[in-house]
Amino acid sequence: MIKVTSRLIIAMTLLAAAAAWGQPGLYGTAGLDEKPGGRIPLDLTFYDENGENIELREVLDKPVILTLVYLDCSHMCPQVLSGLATAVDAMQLTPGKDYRLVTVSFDESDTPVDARNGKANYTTSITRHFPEDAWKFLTGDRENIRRITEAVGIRFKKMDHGFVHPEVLIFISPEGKITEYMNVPKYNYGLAYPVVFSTMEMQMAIGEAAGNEVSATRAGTPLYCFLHEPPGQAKFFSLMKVVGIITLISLAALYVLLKSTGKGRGINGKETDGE
Amino acid sequence: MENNGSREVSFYHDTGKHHGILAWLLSTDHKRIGLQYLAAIVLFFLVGVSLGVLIRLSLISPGTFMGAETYNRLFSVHGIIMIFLFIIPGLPVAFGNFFLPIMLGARDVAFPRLNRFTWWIYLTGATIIALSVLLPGGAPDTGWTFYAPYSIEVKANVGLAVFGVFVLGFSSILTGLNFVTTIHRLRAPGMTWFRMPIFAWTLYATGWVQMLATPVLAITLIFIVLGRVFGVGFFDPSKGGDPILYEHLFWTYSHPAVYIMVLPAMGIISEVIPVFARHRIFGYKAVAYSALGIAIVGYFVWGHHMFTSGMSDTSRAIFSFITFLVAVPSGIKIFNWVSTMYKGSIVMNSPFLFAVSFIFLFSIGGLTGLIIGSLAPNLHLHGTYFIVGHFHYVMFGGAGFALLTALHYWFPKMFGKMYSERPAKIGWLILFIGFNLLYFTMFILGYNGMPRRYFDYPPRYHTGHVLSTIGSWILAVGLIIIFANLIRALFKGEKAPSNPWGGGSFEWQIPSPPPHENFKERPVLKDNGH
Repeated sequence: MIKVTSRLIIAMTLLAAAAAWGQPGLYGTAGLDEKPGGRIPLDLTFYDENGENIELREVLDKPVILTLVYLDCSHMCPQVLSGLATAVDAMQLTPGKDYRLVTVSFDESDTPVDARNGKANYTTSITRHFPEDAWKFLTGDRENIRRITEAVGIRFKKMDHGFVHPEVLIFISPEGKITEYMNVPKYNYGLAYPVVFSTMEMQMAIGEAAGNEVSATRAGTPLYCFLHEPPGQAKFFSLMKVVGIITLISLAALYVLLKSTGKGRGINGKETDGE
Repeated sequence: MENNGSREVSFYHDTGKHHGILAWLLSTDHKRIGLQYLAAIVLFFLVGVSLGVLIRLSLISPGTFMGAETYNRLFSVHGIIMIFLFIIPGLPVAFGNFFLPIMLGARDVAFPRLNRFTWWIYLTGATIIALSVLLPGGAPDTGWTFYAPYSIEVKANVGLAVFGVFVLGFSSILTGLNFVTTIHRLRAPGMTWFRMPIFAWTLYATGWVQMLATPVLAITLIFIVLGRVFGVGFFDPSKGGDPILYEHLFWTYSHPAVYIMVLPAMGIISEVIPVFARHRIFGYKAVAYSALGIAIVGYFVWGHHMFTSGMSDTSRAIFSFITFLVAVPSGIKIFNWVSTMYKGSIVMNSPFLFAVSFIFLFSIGGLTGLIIGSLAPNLHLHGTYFIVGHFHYVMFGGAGFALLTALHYWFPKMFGKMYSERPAKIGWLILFIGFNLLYFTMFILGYNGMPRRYFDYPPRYHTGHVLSTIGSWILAVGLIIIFANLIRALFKGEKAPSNPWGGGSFEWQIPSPPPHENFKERPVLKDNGH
């Protein structure tokens, strides 16, 4: 038993060491450098959901809640956008009149078709009257993506599964000034829509963006979107499975051994007793 | 068979080739090993109780008696000692060792030297844990669950404590193997599976749980040690690990461990109730099968410890459902114990009183378990005193009271002395009152939102804490009376007859205390003893 255990420990150590190799700095280039008061270049051009060219100044005519995501994300982006859609319903302000939502994809391979599908996905869940123009889903080329992400201070990193990047709401005034960054306050495990924004704080932030006032980030650190199953974990789980199955088989073997009867193995409760 | 004791030398006098303390430590006699285990677990129980009383003392006036850090270490060490040194080994190693071979009509367990080895492993593990408490660096302050990442990062001697628990695990696994083999191989003629005493059935179920579940704990704890010593990140997200994985692995063991603690307790109650009700146990097969049922279903409920840790709704619903299923075999047992008493001629001796209070307290523990096993109340009650109340009713009201039941039931057989009934009953009554005041108050505190493990609290919880602490004092007085009575009986008790209670199983057919190899000739079970 001890021998087996010690071998197991050695195997585990080697495996874990291999998995851990080169891990530090994995997400080193993704991050958020907040630039409250910074300016968004209004001349950047993107495609809207219909494939039309659109300049940023055209959508920045009222306070804007800007989100930067990638559209085939299956991790945190859909949660954040759903939370945003829920907040639209909860707020008293009128979407399209008091404010506009703008979601820009930083994945240059995303197309207007992806944008159209994404938009339909989130706007259908909104129950109040919601004008078509109140939420723009924009896609663009590498250069325009580089310039907008630099302007707002978002650094993302391409990985095998997609992108590692921070999830944050960025409030922008009609003059193109960044007035506030709002982090996801808490991830509520167990809820159907685990990302819940405070409607009161959002309304205040929209009001401040309308007045061109810059305010500090309210709370917390940015929520990151990343692959929640780290590399190496699958290997680890297969190891657990193998060890578990071996344990079960040896116990089953023990049971069979104990049940088998042979010469000189005692009386074991049988009535026929030689003595 | 009555009164042949005077002609046979008891195992106390038959020392073999060693003398003094070595006659105990080097003995392979299951009775000597059982008694040494009994001494150890009673000692750790009393140490644990003392720490518990100190925790309660601190809580009536936080900051007066100790600082927050000391408090954290105190409740952690209380938990570690009570769980790993007392309850988990507890009843099987002490009473299982002493009585299982006798009940089956065997001379010893299947592997006597392996048995002795488990005792040495236990001593080693206990020593390592004691070192972790006493060495500079500080006693563990993580709680007995050693949750990652705290247990990996904290400075206290967690590594040592975890290693001690790891070592104890091997004692548990080997004991399980030994008992299972003994039950398969060493039953006396006529002792078919369904004529075995129920205690043997519960030890059988427990043995399999020990063998199957304990390795998981061992591996988990090794991961903690590797994390602390070599920085291997099994539970560290930045290195590819997952802290929730720790909780899963830990509870995959620790929930079945609850049944390691409680199943033998149920076995003891199933022995005691029929003897004092003068009535065969009602539904023998149902009681035997329900032990296996609890052991099997108990493997699939660990997730209910983690409903708030992050788990999908589907998993939570399934874990909650299976948790409810465990109530079925437990309910069968309780129903059968009560039915056994029905129309019996009950003799109200102290073992019976302890056994009946087990049924009462364990039922409260079990039913509150259903409350926190359902999803919605769990979200409210998780991490509160409600949980603390619940598991003390199950652990102390269950396994703890079963220990006291067993002590009073088998004391005459083990030591050949009778204790006084009256102090035992008085002690029982005081203990029972103190217990309920101490722990029932916790349900109310927890329902009102008092979080567990907190050093301080808002004034509105003060009354509850004071009541609970007074309960702890009453409970301690009860325990002092009970143990003083037993210790007095050791030295001044009258000589016990071989069968003081009129029991039917094999241990009552041999002298008290039993001779070295239990039986002069191989006993044959002619009648169904139940």
